[in-house]
Amino acid sequence: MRRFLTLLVIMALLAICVSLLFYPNPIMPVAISSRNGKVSDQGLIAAPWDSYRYNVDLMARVIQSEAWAEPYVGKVAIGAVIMNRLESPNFPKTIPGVIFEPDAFESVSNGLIWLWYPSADAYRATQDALSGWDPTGGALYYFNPSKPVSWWIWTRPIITQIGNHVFSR
Amino acid sequence: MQRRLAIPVLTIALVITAFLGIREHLLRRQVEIQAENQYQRAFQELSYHLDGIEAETAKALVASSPKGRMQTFSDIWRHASAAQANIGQLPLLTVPLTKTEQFIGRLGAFTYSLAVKNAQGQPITASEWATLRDLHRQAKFMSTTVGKMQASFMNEGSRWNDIQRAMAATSAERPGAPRKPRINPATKSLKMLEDGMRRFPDPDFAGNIPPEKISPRGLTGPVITETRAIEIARRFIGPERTEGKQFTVTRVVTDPRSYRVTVADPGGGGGDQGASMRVDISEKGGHVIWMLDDRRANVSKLSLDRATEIGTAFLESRGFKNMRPIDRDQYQNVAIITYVFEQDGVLIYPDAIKLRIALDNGAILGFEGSGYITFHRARVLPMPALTMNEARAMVSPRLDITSARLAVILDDLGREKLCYEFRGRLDTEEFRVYIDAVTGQEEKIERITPRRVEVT
Repeated sequence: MRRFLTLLVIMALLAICVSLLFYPNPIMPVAISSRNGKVSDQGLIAAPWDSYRYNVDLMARVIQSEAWAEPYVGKVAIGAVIMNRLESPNFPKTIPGVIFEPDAFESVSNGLIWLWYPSADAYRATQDALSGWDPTGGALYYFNPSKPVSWWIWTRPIITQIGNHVFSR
Repeated sequence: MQRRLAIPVLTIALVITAFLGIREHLLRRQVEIQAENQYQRAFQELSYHLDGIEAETAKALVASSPKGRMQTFSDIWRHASAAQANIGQLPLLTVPLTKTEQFIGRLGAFTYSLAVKNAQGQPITASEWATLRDLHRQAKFMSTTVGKMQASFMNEGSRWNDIQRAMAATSAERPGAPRKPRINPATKSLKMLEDGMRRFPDPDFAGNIPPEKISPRGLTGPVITETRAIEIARRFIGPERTEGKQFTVTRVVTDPRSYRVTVADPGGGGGDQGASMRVDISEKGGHVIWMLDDRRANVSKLSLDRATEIGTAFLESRGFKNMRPIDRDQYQNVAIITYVFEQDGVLIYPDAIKLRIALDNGAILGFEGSGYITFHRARVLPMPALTMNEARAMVSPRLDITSARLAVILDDLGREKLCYEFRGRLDTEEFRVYIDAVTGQEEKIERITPRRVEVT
């Protein structure tokens, strides 16, 4: 009996150890190819994977992970902030440049954007933001006031609030 | 008996934990070193390109041949865009180098416009040389300051990872008591750089860089009240879609200041939950800036042509006359149609409005009129100095021209230009070429790329 228990405990520890060793890397892009049917269903793009298509997908990922629980305008608003940054002299000049700027988006810093495939709404919001809709009034920053944020963010002039996000310049 | 069992179990557990711990620690250190190396690389490259900007600006000041100017101007422009990319790779969350980045961007835009002038054989004026001289002084300050920072980085062994951690220190406190990060020598010298750049007077670019913010010219009329804003929203969306809905108004503090009218089902909480439409209406003059409906469109029943007609009729009924559809796009059962204003047969591209139209029932799901509000006004168009055939002769002979017309476009520097628009083909590609109708310069070449292809 005792020997059996010992064996059981050792086996359990070994199982934990092995599962930790082979735990999937969280920073692994969800395979797109396996979801291609899904993308087509969303009526998005049958265009080849050129840089434009990649940018749309990247933006949709950020919108999905930053604003999945927000109303639709709140999703467009995140896309609009990316567009406003592109036009601002104080931010990088490309969409990946803006999105991958260190500490610019929480979901990029913690890898959430790679874990989740964007919803049809996220793609729709991306297209609207790319087409020029800006519910933020030209905002460059946003934050969720109910979460702890950098002290610095409070020093920016606030423009408006949409859902749980406060947008500022 | 118990002890005999416990000792081997605990020993094995300890060994496994130690193994996992060391492994995690090594992995983490590796990842951190990689991140640090990336930051160091971005910073060292930034320093290199700032030196490049300084050196090339100095050379440009003494370059006398068109070829020498071309080389130095394009080198400054190249270094400036590389430096901008490098800044974007550094963790500068709480020490935004606003003025520094603005300076680099402006310097790049300015030398680009000088390079264009140079290529067109236009002389560079005395005041432009004076501006370049001012810019060189600032560039020198910038490169020496960053050079000193680099030296202190090396001497003190400062690490970007530490700076990033200090900056990202969070706090839920309200504006009254902002918690500043610990003073860090690196953040301090970054602040010194930014403050130093602020002390320089703004150089005189005299229209050689595009304006960063164009104040709206289409906002005419008196300041309106909240009740008036609701009335405008109701009329804009249409009585049939707003009947029995609840209206709430909030302020949007931006330029132009506006009212945000939220139209929701009653009992939907009044806030964002259950909201269906939002309209932003300018305080001055009560102009609709944009509108968006949350509704998803069901299976398409209408053609793009029908949607375009619906859109034109909608714009007519809302007081936007002479709007012509120029571009249409479709995704997820929604059409996005771009309209521009037409004056005396001339398309005015800056005065643009976009509409989102549901292809199931033809409802207007969105309106985007910021271009129209920014640029539209009563214009007096210049007389073209060239005839269409004279302009056609300026177009590349390789382009197979299919149609031509007059249009007003915005040039690189944000100025309105009256141009002849030639549409044409080269093999399977479609292009629009714009020839300035007054000077005959080739202003712009656009390739028309069908981006989105609907899958059915």
